[in-house]
Amino acid sequence: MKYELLLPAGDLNRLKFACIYGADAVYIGGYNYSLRANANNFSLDEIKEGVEFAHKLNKKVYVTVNMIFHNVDLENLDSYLKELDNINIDSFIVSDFAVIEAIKRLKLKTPFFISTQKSITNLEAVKFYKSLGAYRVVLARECSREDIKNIKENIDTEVEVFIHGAMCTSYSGRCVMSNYVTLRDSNRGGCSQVCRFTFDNNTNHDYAFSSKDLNMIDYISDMMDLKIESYKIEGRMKSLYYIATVANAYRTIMDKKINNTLTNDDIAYYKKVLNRVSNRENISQFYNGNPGVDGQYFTGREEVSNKDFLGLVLSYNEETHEAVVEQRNKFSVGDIVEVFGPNTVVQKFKIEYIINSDNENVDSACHAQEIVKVKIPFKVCENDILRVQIS
Amino acid sequence: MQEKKYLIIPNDKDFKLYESFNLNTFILPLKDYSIGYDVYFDIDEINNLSSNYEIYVIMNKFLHLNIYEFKKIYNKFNKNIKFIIEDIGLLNIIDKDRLVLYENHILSNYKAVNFLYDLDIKNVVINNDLMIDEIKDIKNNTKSNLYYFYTSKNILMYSRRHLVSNFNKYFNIDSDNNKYNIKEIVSKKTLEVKEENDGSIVRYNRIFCASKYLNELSNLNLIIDFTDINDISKKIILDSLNNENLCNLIDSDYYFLEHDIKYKVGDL
Repeated sequence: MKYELLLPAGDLNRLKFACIYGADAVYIGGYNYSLRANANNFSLDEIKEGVEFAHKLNKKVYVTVNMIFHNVDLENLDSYLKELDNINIDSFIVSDFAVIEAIKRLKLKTPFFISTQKSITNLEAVKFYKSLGAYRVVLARECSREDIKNIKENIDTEVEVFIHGAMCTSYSGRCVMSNYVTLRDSNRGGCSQVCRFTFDNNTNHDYAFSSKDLNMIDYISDMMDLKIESYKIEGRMKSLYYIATVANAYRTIMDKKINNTLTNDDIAYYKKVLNRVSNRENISQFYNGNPGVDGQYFTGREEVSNKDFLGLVLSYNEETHEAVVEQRNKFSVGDIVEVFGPNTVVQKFKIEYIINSDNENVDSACHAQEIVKVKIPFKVCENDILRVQIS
Repeated sequence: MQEKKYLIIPNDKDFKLYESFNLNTFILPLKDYSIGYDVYFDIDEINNLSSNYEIYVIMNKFLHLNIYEFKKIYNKFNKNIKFIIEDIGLLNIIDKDRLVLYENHILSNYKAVNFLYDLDIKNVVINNDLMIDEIKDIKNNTKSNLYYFYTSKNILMYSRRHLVSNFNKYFNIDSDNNKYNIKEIVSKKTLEVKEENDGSIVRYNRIFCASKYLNELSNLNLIIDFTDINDISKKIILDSLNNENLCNLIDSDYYFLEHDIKYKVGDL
């Protein structure tokens, strides 16, 4: 059976990185009608370019049309859906019944599946959406293993589950705190994440109730045994490094599971990698029941910036063993760094020298996005990533 | 003025009080299947009340595997009882003519309402965060039987998490209280967090009241949810049911009836 690793992409560049770093499919939003109004998002031309790029690599592109529509938003919906259909996207991700109605009425060839915004938690709900023509459902992040198992064992509709990234405190879609506190419509893409604010509750402590992130790396093997079809990473607003790192980690874990070579050491290593790239704490949330006190933050935002991404390989000369690297965070002569890529297994090396764009030997690469040359004693490829040593 | 139909979600079990105001249609939160209310009812209570009143049962939880527990008890309800449901899986269990679909805050346009109508789901609760013109457009463009939270402390959020006891545990606060009033520090808006067995809900602390547009809302089934509303406001609401000025007699907020809401940074 095919297990799909599904990555988010906030723009064309991240779509390409998600694809080359191991995604089987990516989900994106257009300028209109998706739930991440603050992401860069895609024009129709960019969607077309993204679809062509992905299809050449035998990957799929799903487009979110999953906001909750008000009457006024319906005006250009038909033409937008038709344009996406003509672009040959692989699926619509929908939430509002008005979008399902339009897809069916227009007899579009592109299939659709149901967004997590509908908070599907049981088999009966899956049956309902199947009856509407959905070939897949994204389950609520509050589903337990038993919920998922019951669905998987009793229906042939594809199931997609979130395995990594941020979570709402609420059931998805069932929150309008953003509307009331900040006058921004959460269900039309304007969520201001009020659940991450702090409140006064008349105790000696500020009141906060945001969720920690989701991380299912310990349970991927078990989930694959349940024969779940699609494994989704959250984060259309995440960085290119985050996308590449998370894609690479889960791709490796899933492939090793399929090949029966997955070890506890693999899990431990990639858990470390994922913990470093995330800027928030993460746990498996509801998979084994209610996470209780461990599933939340209570002291407001607790995020740290990540400086692991050292550089991006632009080219590599196999004769001189010299790589041209675009710097992202400071690194220095003598540092031990790791490199990984779509076709480059994680390897370490020591920075022996750094040559800047003026052809000068320097001690450090400390200017953002400066182009430098470094010696890498093994073959690397364009778009490989240099990061700090994790293992 | 045309006589309106009001459906009452009570905050106590004193039905004589409501009856004295000629109110005889009630929405009763079903014990174990609903969340965030002041009082809950079991099947026997509901069946008994259905012999004297028009009764709807509200189930606003997502049911997970518990949906099969409901399947076992569904036939025990008297046949004249209707069901207002949040979990869409219940569409496969409850007869369509006894069912009102209530997807809190997310049924916001007439095409979605009409799509459901064509599926024989002809009774729906529409979002009450809409502008009055949007509501009128929905009404004018559908044959569906629309329900609308007309006066209520709106539920703004529904979580499966224990948002009160988790906080207390984290800070070692010894308390049996299952509620917190929380004030957002910048906007000064106050919300009410209430925890129950299977999760928590957050309500806005001000009463949404659409009375200013009572006439325009004719032909809608108007729901009055007394949950968390104090006795003084409750008395005023009951005394002034058909008064368009009710919204000015209580601490109410009907901002969204009159203001469009922005959702893209570029629109702000």
